[in-house]
Amino acid sequence: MKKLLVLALLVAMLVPVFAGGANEATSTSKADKSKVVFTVAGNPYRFFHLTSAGCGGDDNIVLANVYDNLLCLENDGSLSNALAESYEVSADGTVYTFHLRKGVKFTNGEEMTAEDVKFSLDKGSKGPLGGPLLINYKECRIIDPYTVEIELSAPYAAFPYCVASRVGGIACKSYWEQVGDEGYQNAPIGTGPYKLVAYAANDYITLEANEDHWRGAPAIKTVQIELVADPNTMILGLQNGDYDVMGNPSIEMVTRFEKDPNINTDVASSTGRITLYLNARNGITTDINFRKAVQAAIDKEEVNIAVNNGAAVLIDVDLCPMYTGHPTSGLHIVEKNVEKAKEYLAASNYNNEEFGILVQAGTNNETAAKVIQAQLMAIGINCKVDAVDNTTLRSRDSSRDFDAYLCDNLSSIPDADAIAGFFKPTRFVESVSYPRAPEIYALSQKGCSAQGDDRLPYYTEICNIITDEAYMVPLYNGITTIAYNANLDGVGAHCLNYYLFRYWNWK
Amino acid sequence: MLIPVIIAVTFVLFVILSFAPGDVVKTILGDEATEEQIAELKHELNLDQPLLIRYARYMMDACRLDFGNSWTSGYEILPEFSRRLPYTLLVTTLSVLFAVGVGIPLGIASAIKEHSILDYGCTFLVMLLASMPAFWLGTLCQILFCLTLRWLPVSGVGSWRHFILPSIILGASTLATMIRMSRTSMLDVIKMDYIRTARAKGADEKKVLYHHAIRNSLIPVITQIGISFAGGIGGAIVTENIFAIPGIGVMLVNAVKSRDVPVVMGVIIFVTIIVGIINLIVDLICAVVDPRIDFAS
Repeated sequence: MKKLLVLALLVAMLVPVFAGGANEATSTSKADKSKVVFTVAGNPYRFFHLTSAGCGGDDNIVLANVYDNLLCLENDGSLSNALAESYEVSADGTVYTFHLRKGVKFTNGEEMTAEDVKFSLDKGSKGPLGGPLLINYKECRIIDPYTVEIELSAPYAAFPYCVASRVGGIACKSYWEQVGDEGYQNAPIGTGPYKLVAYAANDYITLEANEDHWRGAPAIKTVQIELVADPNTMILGLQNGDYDVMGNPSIEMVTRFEKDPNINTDVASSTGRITLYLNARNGITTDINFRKAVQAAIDKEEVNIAVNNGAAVLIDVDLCPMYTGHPTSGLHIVEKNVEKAKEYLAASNYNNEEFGILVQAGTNNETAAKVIQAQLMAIGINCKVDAVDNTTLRSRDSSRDFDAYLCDNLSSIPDADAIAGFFKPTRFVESVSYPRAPEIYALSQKGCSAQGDDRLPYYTEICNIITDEAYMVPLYNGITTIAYNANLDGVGAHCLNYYLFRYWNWK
Repeated sequence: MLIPVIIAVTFVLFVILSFAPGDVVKTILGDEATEEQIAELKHELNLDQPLLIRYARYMMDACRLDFGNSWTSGYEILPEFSRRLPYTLLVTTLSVLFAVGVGIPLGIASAIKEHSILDYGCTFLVMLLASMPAFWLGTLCQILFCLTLRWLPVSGVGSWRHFILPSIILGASTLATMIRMSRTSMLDVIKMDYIRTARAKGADEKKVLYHHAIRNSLIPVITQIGISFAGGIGGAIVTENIFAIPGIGVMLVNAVKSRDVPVVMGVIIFVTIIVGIINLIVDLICAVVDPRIDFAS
């Protein structure tokens, strides 16, 4: 009798544990059509982009939804009008006139005017992101409360992308005057479709809809962003219904999700190029025949299949096809040719010394580097993969302490001028920079000063110099992915890993 | 002993973090940072100072409970640690309770029924649990209990149900240790002369086991509980990541990945103190259980 009683008590204790079926998260997200639980890796924490700390790619998850820019970078890399209803550029390409939308309110109720635009761009241009993102910005002049003129120090054809970048979010001047940088960071105010209401570092972020948004109130009223480090947890959570949307699943997972009727996926080309950069200043890579041997030995499609199941677009130059100013003809292209590679290697001074490929450990790029390692070893190059952590990687990149460096160059400005990044005099000291960097940089200056198709010859020439000198081996256009509950609409992968929640809605 | 231990642990850690390759300032500021910006931030973070001075400054600030801010995420370390600690302590405590509650009775039973099916079953269970890594077992259990059976949530901390799987997974290896320890300890005790004497004097078998054997066999097990609790806080690093529990394990992993020295140092100091306190509590419990231990002498 006593034993039976104990058994009954145990059963009574265990029943609630296993009863109830699906968990709370599942029932909440599916029953509550006004909420979306979005899981993503990363650590967004800078919610005011105009401070001396600047902001990084992860911060876009919040910034792109809390702030509006004059122009908006859409999923496919195109620009749409946002706070600017229209704009025009002067004949010499140095003055951009933006006509602002009237009646737009910040989430504190104040109206957005030209004063706020001037304040934001002036402050942004002086911050750490001003140089790289507000290129050639000189000043902003207020013509009237709804018109501003932005003058550049020199023409820059890709400037519309600059105002659409993360440094171009328009902040409220009067609010900043009250609270300062720290206050703004803690309680950001924008004109965007969402408001930040809660945040815990490396844990979660809660956004609530801005019901008075000038585009109309967003369909999803609450976006709960769960910052999860383990991709397996995100995948299982999405399948279980704990999460409704998962940012950046691996391409293998996307393929597997395609068989799941409850989950939809989207894959898009990113603004990043995955490229193998050769040193050309130190060691064996100073020998052009060796560089050409590497260039001819690499089978890009094999790398693409190994890393992306073949889903990415192969590139012949260090530019993504979506970039404005991308050359369309006259390019020198090197195809894989093992025999030719062996000939170049035989003609070089290579003496079986170790050739290292620097790469961030644990990333897709490490997989790509290992495939390339096998391809180079097949022609007789003693190649090793030097997989390091992110901090070491950045340090060695800036001092160019590598033979070859494989990375994803994600560009905030999807324009051909991105190719000039490695050749700027400010990027590397002359002793480690590419030998023909000054020539390439001068051409890029001409390219970004011209407009429309007049730019193409300059970028074509740059690409051909890089190919002829075998400074780098472009592999493929990066991809961005997203997986989401099949009952959601409007969810799409963005070329720069933004997540535009205003488009999302439950069916 | 706690203070010298903290100094030794933090100093070794500080030296290792300082000599790790790479420049954290360049990581924080990004590729486009100018030399002036890099120098300014290095000065702000005291990274332009010699190692010993930096360490001394850090420890002096730590003595005033000023652990600074995260280099990479900006948050204040002490409040953030305080917010996360309860989750880690809860999961660790539940895991130890699970291991103790299941492991000790099983271990004692298998010792009493030596060479029985129960004993062999327990030995098999011990081998199984000890050889399965937490990240693997955790993922398997998530697939079974969350995706297939839909009994439990995969991750998070929204309700008490969220803590069931993490506690079991974290407690799995401790459970194996508990079964093994209590079985071995019990076997040693029941072969002692005083147990034989008690039986020879005609004492009831239940009284012999419960009154004489179990109490004495628990002394090494209690010490092991303390060690397991301390180990559980370390093991929580894996479990918290698998189950997305916002505890100090996740905080530490993120900090190590980004070379966030103040966070790593702060968390390690706190964990060292917690482990020290646990060891003290274990010593006190041992003294209660074993009258031969006398702190006064």
